[in-house]
Amino acid sequence: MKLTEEQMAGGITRVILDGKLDIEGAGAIDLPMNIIAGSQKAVLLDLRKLSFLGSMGLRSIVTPARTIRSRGGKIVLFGPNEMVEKVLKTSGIDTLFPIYHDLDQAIAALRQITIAEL
Amino acid sequence: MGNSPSSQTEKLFIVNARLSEIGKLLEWIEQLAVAHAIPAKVAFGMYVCVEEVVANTIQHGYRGDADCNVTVRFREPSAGHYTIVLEDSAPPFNPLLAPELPPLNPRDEIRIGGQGLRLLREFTKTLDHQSLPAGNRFTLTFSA
Repeated sequence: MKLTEEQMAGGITRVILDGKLDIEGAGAIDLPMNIIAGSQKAVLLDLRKLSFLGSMGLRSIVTPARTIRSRGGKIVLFGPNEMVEKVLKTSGIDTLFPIYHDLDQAIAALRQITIAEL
Repeated sequence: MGNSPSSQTEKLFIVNARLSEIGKLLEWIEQLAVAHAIPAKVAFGMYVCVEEVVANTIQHGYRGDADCNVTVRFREPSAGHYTIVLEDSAPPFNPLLAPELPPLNPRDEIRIGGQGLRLLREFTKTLDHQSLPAGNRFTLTFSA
């Protein structure tokens, strides 16, 4: 499981998850995700390269996502494959954190928060 | 006798009761998926369900006793139909009798867990629990 962090224009942090978010994958990203959650306010979680998501991995997304929101920030989920999206929707996570498949729309949703802060 | 060759054999994997061992189990399922030409979506559901059942057994059934095991058996009784049976020696507990928690929603700021049973029901065709004299047997079926 690999996590890559990129800074985008407009104060948006793009976090790319690459691999399987199973128990082992969750252990690999929990610390960096929590650091990001404690320091960033507009996060685009790029799931296009996530090949697996289980219930143990859900925590690794939901916990930092809630931290970001509790700090007045916003996180959006971008580009999950069909099966990863099925896990997200079955658990109801899509009602907490929106899922986008169009990058421009995902960025636009995050810019609402970054512009509001200016 | 009318069954595919793959139906003649049962494949077995024994996993130690450590969360760190679950990755090996998932690798085994990946190998099964290749050997039995299991469609990717079905294999994905198997990963989700096996991880969930085994992790719950390790965390809540065995309560950290790493000397225990979970035995996992795979069969393809007929083409495109797959059965996974998981047996443990933990105290009998049927999670299927527990009330299913609702999905997470925007007003639910606290709860994170509790989605495992919902995922099991979503990704299996059938899901059954049997109490053993000393343990539990979960039978999960999947269809292509």
